[in-house]
Amino acid sequence: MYSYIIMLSTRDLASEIGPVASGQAFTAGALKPPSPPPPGAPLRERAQEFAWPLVVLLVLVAMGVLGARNVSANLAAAGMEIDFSFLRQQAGFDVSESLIAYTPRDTYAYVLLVGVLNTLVAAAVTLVLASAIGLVVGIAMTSANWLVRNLARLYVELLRNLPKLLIVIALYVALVRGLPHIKAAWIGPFGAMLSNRGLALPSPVVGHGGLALAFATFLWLAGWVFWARMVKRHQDATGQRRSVAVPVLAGGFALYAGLILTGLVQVGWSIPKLTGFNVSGGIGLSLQFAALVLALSVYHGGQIGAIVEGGILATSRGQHEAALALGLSRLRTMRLIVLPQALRVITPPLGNQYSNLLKNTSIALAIGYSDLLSVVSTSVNQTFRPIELMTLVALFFLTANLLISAGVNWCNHVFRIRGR
Amino acid sequence: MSLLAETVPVAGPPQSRRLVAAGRWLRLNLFSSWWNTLLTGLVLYGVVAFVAKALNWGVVDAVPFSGNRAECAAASGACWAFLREKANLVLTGTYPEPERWRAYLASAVTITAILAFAKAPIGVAGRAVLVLVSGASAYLLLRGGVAGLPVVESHRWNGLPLILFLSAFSMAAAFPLGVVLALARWSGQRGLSLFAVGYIEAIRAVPMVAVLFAGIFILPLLLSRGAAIEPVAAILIVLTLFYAAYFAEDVRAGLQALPKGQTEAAASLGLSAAQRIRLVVLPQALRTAIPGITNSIIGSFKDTSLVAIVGMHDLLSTARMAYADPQWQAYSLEANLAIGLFYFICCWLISERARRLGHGAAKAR
Repeated sequence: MYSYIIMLSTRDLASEIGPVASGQAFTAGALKPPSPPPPGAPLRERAQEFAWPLVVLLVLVAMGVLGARNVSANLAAAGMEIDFSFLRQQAGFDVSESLIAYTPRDTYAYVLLVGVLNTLVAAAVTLVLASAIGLVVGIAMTSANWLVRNLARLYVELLRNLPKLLIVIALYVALVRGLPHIKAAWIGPFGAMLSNRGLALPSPVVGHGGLALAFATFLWLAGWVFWARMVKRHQDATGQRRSVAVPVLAGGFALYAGLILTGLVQVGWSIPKLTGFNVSGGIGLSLQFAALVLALSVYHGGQIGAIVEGGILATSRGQHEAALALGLSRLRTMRLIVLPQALRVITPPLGNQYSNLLKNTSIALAIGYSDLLSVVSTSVNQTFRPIELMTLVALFFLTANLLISAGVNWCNHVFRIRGR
Repeated sequence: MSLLAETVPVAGPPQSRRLVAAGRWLRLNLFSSWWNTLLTGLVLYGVVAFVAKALNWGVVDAVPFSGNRAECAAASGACWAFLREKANLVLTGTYPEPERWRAYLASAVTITAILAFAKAPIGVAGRAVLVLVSGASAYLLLRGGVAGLPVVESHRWNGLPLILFLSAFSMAAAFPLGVVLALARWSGQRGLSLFAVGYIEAIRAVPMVAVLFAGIFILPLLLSRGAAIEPVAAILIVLTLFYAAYFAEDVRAGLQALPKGQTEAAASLGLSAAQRIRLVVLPQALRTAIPGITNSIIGSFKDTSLVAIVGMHDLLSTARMAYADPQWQAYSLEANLAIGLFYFICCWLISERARRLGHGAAKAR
């Protein structure tokens, strides 16, 4: 191929040498002086090149205009127009749970905020759990142990082939039917309660000294960062590694114990109690939330596992062997050598997974967890304002996706190979 | 683990040689260090305990398909008789009983069409005809109103025929649309490419449930006044629009992998733009895109079950109907396992088929 191009460009040289045996037909054709193109041709070709896209775009615009006209005609016939003022009206329906105080007397705008927060909290918890499962499964898939490796592969393959909705529904139904009625709830230590209404855990309540507690936490985090830097500097200077975890944990323990013992901060416990058919006190975890988060974590854990495996396999084997030869333990080899390099490969598909995970929280509707879409669905049924509400949903998800891809880009920047 | 043991051939009669080899395999793969031995022990214990429990539940203590409700109530294991009892309900839902054969026939037509689409040597035009003919016949079978068949309203199309109809024909329509979108994005024509990018990114940013809602609530508003659209048709349209964006991304990956020299060479040979795309660009790009497309097909097939959320009764909902029956309430796990098995087999068949296609493509090169 390359030789032809040279021959074409150095035509007079080729004509002196004569046709080459192997490419005789081609060269013979190419050696003829090119016939001049008909004068109209390039223009017509260019017109064609522009005409098609133009026609397609015009059709699309026409369809858009037609759709918009139909929408306004349909809305006018129903005596409505696009109008967001309903957001200030009273919503009048209840939600399964809310992070912020909510009553049915609150407005639609407020109930949408409740939905957004519920979606975000479910996505955040799922993200952490799914990443943890994915990391373990991914490492297990590359394990030297035949049994562990194949069990992890089975897990990934199984979840690749099952619909997430099936997993959520099956888990939810199994939990509702399998757990005891609230009157016969299982009582665990410290008043933890598990029934088919959900899990109730005792929660700490700060009596007084909240400000001191916040200040102490800030101090502790600052101390952590400072100590980690000191350890790194010491290691760079002497090659000896000191422990980070032990002093940080001990310091934190001493700090909080000191605060409580001196009486600067008073912490009590709120124990869940059964009052009628409801649980009061403590911190509640509804069954819907638990089923959604568990099912999505298991589902995305499998997919993240496959991504992590790909990342580990992509790091060169020599790195792994060199680390072992230097005497690093297997755990340290994984943590210090293999995973940081795998992270570069993993980041883009992982970002994709996180975006899917956020979108997939919308299947919460099937089991009655009040995420954004289930709140929107009820609102659409009550107000019949699908266009306004779906626009808000689209805006939320577009913004969230942009933020996720910005985060991925930032991670790519942080994890890039430096010093080259 | 000594390296010598690996390199020195084992002497002795074949029987003992095999034994030694097996022992070596065990040592290398399961007991290479104390940590691995511990792991093997723990995992083996878990697996054995789980399998034993599952066998007890599913086989030993279970009531077979031929059993009845009284036996199920007495048994402590699975109640497979439930599946036999409710098979028609799970597969066809509320489709009227005397017409049920039509639901099964429509499923059979769709499955045959899928198999023919995947295997028959009929080219692109043949496949288009196949999709149209099988789609129309499945639709007419389900709906009735022709050839003396009584009309069955679309909200009674449930279970297997619904899921097959929606997933097969939405994907069949979405794929060409996705190819067109990918080409538009790739074409370098600014207006078209901008439109394609905007469409693909917007669709991929929102959850499928939101798109399904848009299909149910907003699509009817886009039609001219007085025109009505059945929910099934609306869902089919939005599924097509939704899946197209995902296929477009897969095809785009294939297009990007295509060396620029290919189109340039085709252009210098005097092929027109349409010929370049049809003969040079697409065959290579689609072949490269097979793994991505396979993933999207499997994902789309699984995600079609989400139509249950907007009130279409797919297999998950019909299974729910089956175990909502107070007499059979305790057997949700059996129903969900059966549905899971169905999805697992279907998805496995799809990836198996795609793997072969990928092998064929590798050989063709």
